[in-house]
Amino acid sequence: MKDYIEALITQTSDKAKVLRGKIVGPLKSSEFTGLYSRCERQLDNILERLEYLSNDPDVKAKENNGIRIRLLRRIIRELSVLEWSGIAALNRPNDDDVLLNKILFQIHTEIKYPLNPPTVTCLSQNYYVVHPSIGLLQVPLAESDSFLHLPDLYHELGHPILSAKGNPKSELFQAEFTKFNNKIFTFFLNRRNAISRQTGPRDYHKFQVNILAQSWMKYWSMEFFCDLFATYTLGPAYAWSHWYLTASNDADPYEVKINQVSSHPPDQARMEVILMALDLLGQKTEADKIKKTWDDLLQITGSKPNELYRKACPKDLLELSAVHSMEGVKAIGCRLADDKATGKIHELLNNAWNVFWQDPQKYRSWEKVQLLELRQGYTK
Amino acid sequence: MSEIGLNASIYEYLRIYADRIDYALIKIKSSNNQEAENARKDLVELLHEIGANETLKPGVLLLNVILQEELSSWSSTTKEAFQRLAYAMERKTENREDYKNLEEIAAVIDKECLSVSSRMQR
Repeated sequence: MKDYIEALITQTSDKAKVLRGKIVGPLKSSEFTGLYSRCERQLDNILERLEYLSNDPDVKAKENNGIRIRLLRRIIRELSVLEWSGIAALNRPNDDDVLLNKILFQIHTEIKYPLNPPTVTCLSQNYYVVHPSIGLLQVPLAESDSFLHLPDLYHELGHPILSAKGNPKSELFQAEFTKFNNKIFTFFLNRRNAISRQTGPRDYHKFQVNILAQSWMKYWSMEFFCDLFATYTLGPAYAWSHWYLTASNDADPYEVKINQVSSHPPDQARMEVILMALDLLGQKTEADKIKKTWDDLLQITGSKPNELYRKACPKDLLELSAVHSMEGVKAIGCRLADDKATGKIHELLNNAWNVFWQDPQKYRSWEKVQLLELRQGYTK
Repeated sequence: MSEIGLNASIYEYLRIYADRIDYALIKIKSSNNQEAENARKDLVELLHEIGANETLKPGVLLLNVILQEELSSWSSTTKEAFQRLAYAMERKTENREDYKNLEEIAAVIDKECLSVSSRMQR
């Protein structure tokens, strides 16, 4: 076993060095320098930890074998993620990546984003994926050729603010997030206690409450906060983007899974918090228009609330998320997307949805012209 | 964000806590030098954080949710158990049972890391 661990450490160390060689130089553009430094730093850190596992007499002691292999496996997993994320992005950069990086940089300036913006790559095979530890945002290949999904970039910008560690620029947003999570915790604790006092099948109901509490606290609250961050900083275009994503996806917007923890809240609940946020921003007319179109979509697709939906997504919690998130966005000094908000990308993405609804058939011709102008503007 | 992205964020939180506990356990169990002292301080700080009644750190809160669920068989509540462990480590009065509990905590976080990371694979 000891020999096996030693060999695995050597192989992992070799792989880290091979991956370092896969970073193509010189870099395609200055937008990649941040990602390059972060990947290099992570590789250095991985190599240091491997050296420790290989040489430190304490970790090599027989009684620590269990811990040693645990540490090694985590390094192997980390390296594997780095391979298909950051290193792949640096190995295959292209012009579309450069365009999206320029757009994201512009967004970060317009909304007064408190952190460095992540680097964007069009290499995702799984919709939008952000890797806060290396500051990378993966988007699908065709994202640089359409505006209608781009509001999701604002959502992704919310995640690094939630995961930044020890950074005073993001702490106040995190504090609101944690206050909200503490309220979720209390809410489900009270519900569990109420079940204990009831007659009937308590175990099943407690199991259901545990699953919902974990879904909320592990995943949903984060997703709601990022939806709200996007709505507060971009406005109606984010709501439309959520509409679009739901319309093109065949999942039931009211569906709640209670057999296991689920990663995403129901689409209906996400739209509810987005509309609450638009109301809080003073964009009531737009919110009403979006709600009407959303209700039409639900009607056409035959989607109806089920018995579990409101139990899983109580209005009180949704409202609290909208309030806490707004406090957080204000506290870190981001620009709110009220009716006075301006900015090239802000206007472009909101206008894209107006043009789309005016004449969906002609929208694509308008979009192509705008895309060309945008590309030309950035290459000047 | 896709499920992979959500799990990437969660993995990063958990991985750091898992590493902190594992490195500390090795140092405290094996040596009696300044490095072991620093590792002990770090572990005590972490245990106090997890055992605190309120936190403003999203990572600690997430850890709390996971540990409460996974360690529900412990006789005392997770928060009480963490506070007790923190005091024992701080006063250097820890016993074999405490180390067993710390190993169990480390294993639970590692198991969660594995589960989160398997949801990140394509």
